[in-house]
Amino acid sequence: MQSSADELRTAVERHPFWYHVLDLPDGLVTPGWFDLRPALDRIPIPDVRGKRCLDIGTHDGFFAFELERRGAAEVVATDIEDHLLWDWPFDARPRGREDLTGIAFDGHEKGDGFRLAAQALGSKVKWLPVSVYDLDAAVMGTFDVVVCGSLLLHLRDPIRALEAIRGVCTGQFVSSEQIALWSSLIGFRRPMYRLKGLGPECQWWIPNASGHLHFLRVAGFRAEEVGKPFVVRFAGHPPAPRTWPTAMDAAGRWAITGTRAAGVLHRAIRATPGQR
Amino acid sequence: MDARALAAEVSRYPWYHTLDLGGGVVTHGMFDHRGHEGRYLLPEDLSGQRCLDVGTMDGFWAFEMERRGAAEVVAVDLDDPESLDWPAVQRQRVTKTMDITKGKRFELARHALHSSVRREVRSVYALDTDLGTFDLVFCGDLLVHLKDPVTAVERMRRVCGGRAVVCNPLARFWFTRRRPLVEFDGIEQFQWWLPNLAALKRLMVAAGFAEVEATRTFSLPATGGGPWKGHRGVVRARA
Repeated sequence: MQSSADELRTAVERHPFWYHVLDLPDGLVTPGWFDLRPALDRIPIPDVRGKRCLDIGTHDGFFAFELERRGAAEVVATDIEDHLLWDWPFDARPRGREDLTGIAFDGHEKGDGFRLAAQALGSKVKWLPVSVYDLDAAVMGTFDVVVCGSLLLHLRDPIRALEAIRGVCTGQFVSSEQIALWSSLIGFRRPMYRLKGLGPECQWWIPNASGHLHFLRVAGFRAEEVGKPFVVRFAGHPPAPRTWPTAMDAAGRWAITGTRAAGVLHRAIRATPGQR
Repeated sequence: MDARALAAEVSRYPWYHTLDLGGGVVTHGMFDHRGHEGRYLLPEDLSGQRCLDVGTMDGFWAFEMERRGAAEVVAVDLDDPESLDWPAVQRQRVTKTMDITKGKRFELARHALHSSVRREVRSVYALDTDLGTFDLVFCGDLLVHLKDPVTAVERMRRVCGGRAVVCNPLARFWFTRRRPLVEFDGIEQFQWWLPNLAALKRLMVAAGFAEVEATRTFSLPATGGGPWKGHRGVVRARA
């Protein structure tokens, strides 16, 4: 007879795609693409004890479970389960579900990983299939703490998204986003964005550090605490090819963050909805 | 209406475009494209073509396409200034005189020029095939005022059965020309994304246009001067 630990191990192994590295009970760790655990000390998450919290674009639920672990009274996690509903650029837009194979993490529905992890953790986080654009205080209520990680770059209209977030956030907003390395250094006071708009990574506007901060201001937030840059580490994510530019990037990330780990440069900002 | 009456009517409004309305009456526009038309990648001869001018304002480009022989020109714009994509801070602060009277100005110019351009109140975000499709879609200096330029260009493509010409103010980045880079305001001015030429081209590709070509960038500042040097670029693409 199999123990429940073995059953869980099998289920985790069988799950076709893990986005987050998650610590589950019995020392079980999900083989995710991205490991945010070492980055937590650079993400200015406020005290959430007794607070109502929201994690937007939760994927496998890393931030949602972390908020719950830190004592949040209630955590809601939202995501778009159906990859067809992403903001696809023209060249990568899938014509049907079968078209998702090979892109968008092979089209596996994101909610499955979250549900499996939630079950293993005995979590009470409430998962809702809501697009960031459609966040609505009349439907979901408002939140004391809102977290959104690595989402804005996948949106064609990030300001509309941030304005929707502002509409449900009455306390504090933690925005953790990818920032471009070299334009952050070159233009450290000038908001700049690299426009992608091509390819299956489904990326649009990649801000420099100043650009990320500026996004928040435009949407009506006031930055309260700007974290130090960090690397969202690749775990299962395939490593970048070894070329001169990627070697330069790695050296730059090391200089800025103090870590040599491969991954994606990020910065997190804690903000409050300001007066308009 | 004789020239004097026309001049009197013209003087009642602030003008966006400098338009030569005939009889020596010229509107004093914020922007004067006259003499620079050749830089905008519009075909000399538009005979038989159905053309769309997106965000027409006083109609300079709509009338220009008609002058080049277009069989039909439709011009779309918004009448209600509140329905524009104002940055939140700007919405309360800005006097919107220029936007309140644009319908009247267009109509006055259309009448003076004996033009048959049809003006429709329609947002670029709402362009759809109920308008039919167009051999040429022109969009001048509009994208910079939009919060979501990608959707706007996608909408242009939806109604474009031939080619699109898009002109926009551009940003300059001293360290690169090749990379699609964009500045972003949304606070200081009625201005959102300000691309470099590579990013303007990329916007077209991201929205599904093909064979994207671009002019050399050039300068055409506002007639009244001001801090903006008028750095612009034009791209043309096939739907």
